[in-house]
Amino acid sequence: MQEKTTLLYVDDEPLNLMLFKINFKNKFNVLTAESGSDGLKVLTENDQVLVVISDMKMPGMSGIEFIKLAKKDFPNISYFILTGFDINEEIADALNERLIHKYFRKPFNMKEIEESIMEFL
Amino acid sequence: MKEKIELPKVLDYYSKSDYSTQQKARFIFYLCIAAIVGVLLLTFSSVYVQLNSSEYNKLFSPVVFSEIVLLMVFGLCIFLLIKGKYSVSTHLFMITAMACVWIVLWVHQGNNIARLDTVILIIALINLTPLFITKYKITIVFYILANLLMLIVFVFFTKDQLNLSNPTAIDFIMDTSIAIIFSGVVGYNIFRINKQSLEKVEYDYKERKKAEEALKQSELLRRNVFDSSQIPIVVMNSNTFEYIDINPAAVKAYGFSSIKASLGKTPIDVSAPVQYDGTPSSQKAVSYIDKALKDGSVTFEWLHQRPNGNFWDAEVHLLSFESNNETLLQFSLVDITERKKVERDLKESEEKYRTLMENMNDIVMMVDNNDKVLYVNKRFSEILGYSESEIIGQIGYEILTSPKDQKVIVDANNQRIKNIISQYEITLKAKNGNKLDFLVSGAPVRNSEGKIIGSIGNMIDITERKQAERALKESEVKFKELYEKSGDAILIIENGKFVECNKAAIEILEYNSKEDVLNIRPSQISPEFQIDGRNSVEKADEMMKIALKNGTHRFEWLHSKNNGEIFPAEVLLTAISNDADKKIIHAVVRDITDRKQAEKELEKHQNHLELLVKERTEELATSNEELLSTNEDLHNQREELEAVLLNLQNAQKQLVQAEKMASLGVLASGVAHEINNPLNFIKGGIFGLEQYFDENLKEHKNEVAPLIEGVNVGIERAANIVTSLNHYSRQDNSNVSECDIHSIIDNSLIMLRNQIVNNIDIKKDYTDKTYSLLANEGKLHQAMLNILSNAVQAIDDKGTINIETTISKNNIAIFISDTGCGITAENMPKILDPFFTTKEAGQGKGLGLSITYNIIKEHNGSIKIDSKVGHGTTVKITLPLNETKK
Repeated sequence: MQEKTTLLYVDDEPLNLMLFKINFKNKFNVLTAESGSDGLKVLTENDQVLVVISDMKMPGMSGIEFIKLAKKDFPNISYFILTGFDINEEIADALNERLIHKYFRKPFNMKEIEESIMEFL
Repeated sequence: MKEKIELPKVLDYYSKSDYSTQQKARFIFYLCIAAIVGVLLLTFSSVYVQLNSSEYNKLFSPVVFSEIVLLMVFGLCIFLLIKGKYSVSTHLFMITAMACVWIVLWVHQGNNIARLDTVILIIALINLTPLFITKYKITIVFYILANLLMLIVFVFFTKDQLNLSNPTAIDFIMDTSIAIIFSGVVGYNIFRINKQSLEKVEYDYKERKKAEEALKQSELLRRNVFDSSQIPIVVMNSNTFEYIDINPAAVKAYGFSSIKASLGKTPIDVSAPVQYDGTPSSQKAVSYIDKALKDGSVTFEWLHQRPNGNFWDAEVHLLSFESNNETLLQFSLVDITERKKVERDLKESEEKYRTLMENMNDIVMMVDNNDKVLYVNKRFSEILGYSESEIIGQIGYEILTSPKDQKVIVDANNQRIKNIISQYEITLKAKNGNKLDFLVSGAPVRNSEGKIIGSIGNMIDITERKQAERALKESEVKFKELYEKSGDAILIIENGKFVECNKAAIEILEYNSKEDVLNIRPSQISPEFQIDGRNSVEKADEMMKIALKNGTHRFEWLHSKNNGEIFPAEVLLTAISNDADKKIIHAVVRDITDRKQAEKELEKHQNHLELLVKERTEELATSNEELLSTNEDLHNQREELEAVLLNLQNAQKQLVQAEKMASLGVLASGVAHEINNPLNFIKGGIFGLEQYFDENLKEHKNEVAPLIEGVNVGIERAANIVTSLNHYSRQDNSNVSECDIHSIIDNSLIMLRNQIVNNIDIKKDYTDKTYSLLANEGKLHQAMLNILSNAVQAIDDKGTINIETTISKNNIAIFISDTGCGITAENMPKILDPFFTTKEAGQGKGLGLSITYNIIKEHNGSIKIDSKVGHGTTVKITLPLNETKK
């Protein structure tokens, strides 16, 4: 069997992280971080991460800010946003600038996420 | 002790003498008999001796003689004794005996000793003296002295004969004397002691007798009082309650035949079976008897019944007393049947009067001297509303409304004491606060001694009468005022002459006083001829006749004032009475000088005016044209202004709504995010669980699936609401494109197809004009769908939905009207509020119209909803058109 894709999920809600990890444990190798800065740390420590999914609203830096920073250092990773909000200007701009591939809505739809990731890999 | 001495019959005389006398008498009697028998024996023996003795051989006469004398003397003694001469008899006996002794001493010729010892007999006799003496004990002393003297004399003369020496003689005398004196003293004292003892006994006896007598007398008296008393008295055994003594008055009261028949009876035999209070007599009697035994006495009233069945009342005074260590009860009775009857009658009559008072239509009230209410009848409570307990004991003045009335009452009360009957009116306050008027008449209440103890009053409710009076008075005053203040002269004509007039009449006619007008005829205040040349007297009579005949008559008349000035007047005559002897007419005279003058003036002016009018009409016609055009301008301006105002009002309304929505948007986006996160937990959790079941517990899958499905549906629904909320926060106009509103509407209808049943008729009236509308097609679609969905849902059973579009200037208007249930006025202001819905829970979220509003606003359009309950709703959406492409 093929090696599982490594994925980083950033969210300030530990519960979300835990559930995400459990639900995708069979499909992805899921790493988690509770903030943008933590996420950057994880990225520098793990070079095998191919996919980053981040929450939008987090203390410290927002999801987009975090992705902007990460993209500088790791331009090959595919970035996604998973948010409780409807689409807004910031997300729309990020989409337009190809900063992120797609944005998912909370409550997340496992299938949609999985399919999208597979598509962009 | 022998109670009675059996006296020999011959001594009957002493049968009534005292006890000792009787005994003495009997003793003397037997002594005398014994003496006679003794002397008889002596006589026979001496006779026998004398006859047979050799010494005498014949009768020695001195001896026999003296013996016979002795017999005779003793016989005399018995005789005297029998005759009651006790003292004489005894003394005779004594003296005789002593004399005999002394004689024997003197004549005795024997030896000395035989001679001298005879003296002893004297001593013996002296010892008898206490028996003989009845009264005078001093006689003993005489006997002693006499015997001593005889002794001395005897010794003196016989000393020699007896050969006695002097000392012997003296010695004899001394001895004998001492014996005699001693015997005498002893006898004396025995007599004295006997006598005194006797007297003492006799005294004591008499005293006792007296006391006994007195006791007997008092007992008798008491008995007499008891028997003759008119008060029935009965003595009763305290244990058996039997009557043991009863006086004739009681026998009579009880109706028994005799005292004997009454004894042994008990109270039950004389009582009614039950007393007035219903207690059985036997029970009640025992309680009273117990009380009397305990307290000594008790007084009570008792209902009795005679053997013949008649009832009678008595006051019973029962008392207990001790007699011979036995407790007895005595009671006296006072017949109070009459009193009781009077009491009953009184009570009955009182009851009657009370009933009378209670049922009276007027109020009856009684107060004491301190004005405290003692009694009120039922009517009082009914009229004034105070309950009996609320008024009795209160001061009656407290329900007066005016303090003035108190004085009226006090004065009236004082008058009544002097028997001056008066009536007065007062106003009282009823409990509910109403003021009621009363006509009060009253009288003092006297007690049996004639002292005034209060007063009783009869009050008649005259509130209505008073009100009527007041109303009458008011109307009278009003009419009087009307009459007096009338500007027209008002006069009353009786049989052709004025009998009354008002002030105006005097003023108009310029008289000084009313008296000047009265008693004159109408023609006298008129010129000689009227305006038509007729004589005033004649014409006035005619006018009055017409008035009397027709009831009223109005005409013009010339009057003359006091100073002769003539003025025109309008006269209205009204017949009041048309009796043959009392024809009364009411006349109103109005001075029409001014009117007449004005009429003339008017006529003058009229001609002038007609000319003027003609001129002016022409002028007006021209100016009118000018005005008309101005008017139109003004009208237009006003319409514009009104429209502006309406727009402003709408703008304000919309501004308020927009503000509301803006703040809602901020809120909604916050809420959306915060809800989505927990929803994410749930969804993630349930997804995880589902997978877990798939991998590990496949056999449970079927049971768990519906549960998981339920959670997923819930998440879906919640997520949809949150998504809807996001519409409030979105302000972007991206995705704007050229839209065909008609196809959007048609598409929406297609989407709603499953909801549109056959009996809903959809009529479309789309505009033909071309237009360019730039909008977000998806959102517009959503807005139309919401509105149409509402319209469909408003129609319950059958109805029509009209869809019309119009283009005007720069706008497109879409009208969507339904014939559904409509929106109530109450709900109207709330329909745009999010979450407001009249649908059942779960049927709708209440966000449709709210979101629609937001979408229209985003497109700078407007939405207007008109609705009438039961008739339907019309929604008008106006959207701006793309001007550049026009």
